[in-house]
Amino acid sequence: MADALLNQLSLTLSVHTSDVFVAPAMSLADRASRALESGVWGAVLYIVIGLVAVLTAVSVLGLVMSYIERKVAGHFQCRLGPMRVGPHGVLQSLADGIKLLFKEGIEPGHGDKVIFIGAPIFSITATILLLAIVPLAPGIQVVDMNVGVVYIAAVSGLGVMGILMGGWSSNNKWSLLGAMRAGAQMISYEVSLTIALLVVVLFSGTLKVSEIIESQQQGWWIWRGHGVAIVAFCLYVIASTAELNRTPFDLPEGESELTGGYHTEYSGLRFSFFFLAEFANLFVFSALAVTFFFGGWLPFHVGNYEGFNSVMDLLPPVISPMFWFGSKCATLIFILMWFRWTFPRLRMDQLMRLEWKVLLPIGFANLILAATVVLTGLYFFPSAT
Amino acid sequence: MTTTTPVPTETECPPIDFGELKSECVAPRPSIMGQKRGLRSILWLSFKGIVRGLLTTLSYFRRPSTVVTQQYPENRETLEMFERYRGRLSLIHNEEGEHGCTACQICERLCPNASIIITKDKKNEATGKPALDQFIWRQDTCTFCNICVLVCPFDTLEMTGDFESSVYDRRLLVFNLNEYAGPTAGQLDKLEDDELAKAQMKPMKKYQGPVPMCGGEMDGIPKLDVEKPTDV
Amino acid sequence: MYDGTVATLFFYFFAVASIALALGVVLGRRLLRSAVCLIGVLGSSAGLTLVLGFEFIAGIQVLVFIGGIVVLLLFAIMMTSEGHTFEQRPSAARRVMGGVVATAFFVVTLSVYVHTDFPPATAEDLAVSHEDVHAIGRKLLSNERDGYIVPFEVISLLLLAALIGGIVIARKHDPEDT
Repeated sequence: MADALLNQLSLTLSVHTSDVFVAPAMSLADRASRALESGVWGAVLYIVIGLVAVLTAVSVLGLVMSYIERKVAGHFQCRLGPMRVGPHGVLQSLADGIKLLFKEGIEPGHGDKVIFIGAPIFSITATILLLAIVPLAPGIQVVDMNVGVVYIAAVSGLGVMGILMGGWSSNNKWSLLGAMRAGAQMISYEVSLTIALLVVVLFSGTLKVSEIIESQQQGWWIWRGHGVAIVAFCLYVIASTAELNRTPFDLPEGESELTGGYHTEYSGLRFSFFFLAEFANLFVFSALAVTFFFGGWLPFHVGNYEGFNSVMDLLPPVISPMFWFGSKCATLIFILMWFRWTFPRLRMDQLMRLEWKVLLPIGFANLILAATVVLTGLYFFPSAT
Repeated sequence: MTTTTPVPTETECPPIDFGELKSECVAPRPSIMGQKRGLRSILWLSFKGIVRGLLTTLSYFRRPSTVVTQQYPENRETLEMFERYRGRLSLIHNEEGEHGCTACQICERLCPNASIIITKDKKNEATGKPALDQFIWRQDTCTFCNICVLVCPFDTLEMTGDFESSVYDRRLLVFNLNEYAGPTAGQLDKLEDDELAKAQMKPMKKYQGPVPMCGGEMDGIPKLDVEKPTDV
Repeated sequence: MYDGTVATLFFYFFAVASIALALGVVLGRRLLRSAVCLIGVLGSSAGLTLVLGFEFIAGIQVLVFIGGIVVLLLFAIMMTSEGHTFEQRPSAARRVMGGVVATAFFVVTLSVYVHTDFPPATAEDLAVSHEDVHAIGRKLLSNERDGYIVPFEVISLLLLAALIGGIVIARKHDPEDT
């Protein structure tokens, strides 16, 4: 038994750590499915390692993003942000995390305890599931389904459930109101989000995320789509801001009227779960925008300017995808933060009117236009295929 | 068959009938919503507003010089408080150490929570006029409403920016603001005899007493039940 | 993931979870807890289809049923329940009617199960990829013999009618129209 376990361990580990970065002949998803099918112990080991990796990734992501968010917010508002813990406050979010870890988890008296405890877990699970499909570099993608876009649409809808459950079980009117607002808002804007992504699906002709990136070798879809993709990108940014409950659309946690919205009653670790899910979602939605509109980990190329393109290709192949993906993602995250710290909050009816009377008609018209462009083959750059 | 004259169609919004109130109505402020604009104009204005907002915040983000945060314990030496900040009440003394308080007690009467207590010498020997004995200010009950500063007819009071007033014992929050008990600067100037004027100025300490809240005697501050503080 | 012990394990896991949670839906007396159990049931059946390799079906299952219908259900519960979310004890008539309907449904299902023979999957069957979204799309919109264009359009029409009906019901009525 022990020998078999060790064998499986070495197999699984080698599957994960061996030359993934150097020669991605076999993607992480393929390796994962091989590990899953290799036997019971392989599957168990794979799941354990995957869980540890994903939890670490989400925590680190949450720590880094919350630090950046506070720093950026500070400088947008003529402040400095965290400055005390560590040089320029870099350890602030770590300190906050430790504080949250040791805080008492208070449960409201007449709430539904099971659902109350389950809600933050549900919320963060949805985020982790969504994180699985983000392609970080060629081959570095936990799940690469044939129906990636359907998966994204399905899983991003799960996040609402956690919020609804949390708001209901808190037995608190503010929480309930916040949860209802969050639910209505997220269901509404999900439609626009999916329609914006469908434009790119029409262009690339596939639902598989890795193939969508490969279809942008000739040029990113945002340039090649004759402006249709630019409209789709704007829709995506607006809808994802609403989906993330960030400020122009942060009614679910509107502090002035709802104290904390759906997480009013949460404290300690459970609150930090909601918090982590929020920040990890920010990363995921930016990463998806990068994947669909800005070519994912592909470097910046301009048409047939060979000289320029070769300069852009200078980075060694190990770092290049990480650099390009990271920088694009960071830019988008910065833009979302910029929105958050600039705009005031909308009213609920304005929010709903914006979605159903403005964004959705534009989205549908845009989709029809995109279909026309695809049918007539009016791509900006001639595609290789 | 008579053709009815076509009713003149109102394309514009009919003006709202204010009736008799018309003369009192104020013209609405020009805004995007108030004026009749085309869709394109509204879109353009909204776009302009959004971009302007974004550029404003970005300009703050780009220039670290706009940061207003004070890193307090580190910059304690160079920290300058704003003029309007109300940290502590003080009685203004001129270069010769003379104040201008005539002990008129207007500030004492107008203080909403009785944080000012003034005792006076009803008739000074030299000037023959009332003279200030003690100007007691209780910081522990003060709300810093600034009324005393505003009402003082002689402008002898001011709020200073000194904000480091935490102490471990609240008896230490009761201050004696005047540095000497005696007539005002103007009355002292009228006295021809300098020696006589000097003699009128009995020096007072910051903590002259009495101790509030029935507290015990501390650091040489006499108890509350002591009728007249003795000169130390 | 079509065979092997892991797939079997996953099958049993999802099957047990789905039955247990389904019992939770029916027997639970807190409405919201039942709704959460329903999410679990639908999720596990999506997992079952995933074990069989139908990724598209699983995705649509989660998207439509969990993301749409259960959320609608939750909204309905939250909007309509007046303070209490415990279900009252059902009356005798309701119990009898429910029993009759459930028994009838069970009998029909059982008879279908008994009268159908389930042939074991051959290697050829397993080799066919179930993941081809293009094929599903073409079949859905083709007007040939095996196409589903007519049902597709009929469903679209139905949904459109429902949409317009919803708008008409929700529309603000002018007081003059009556």
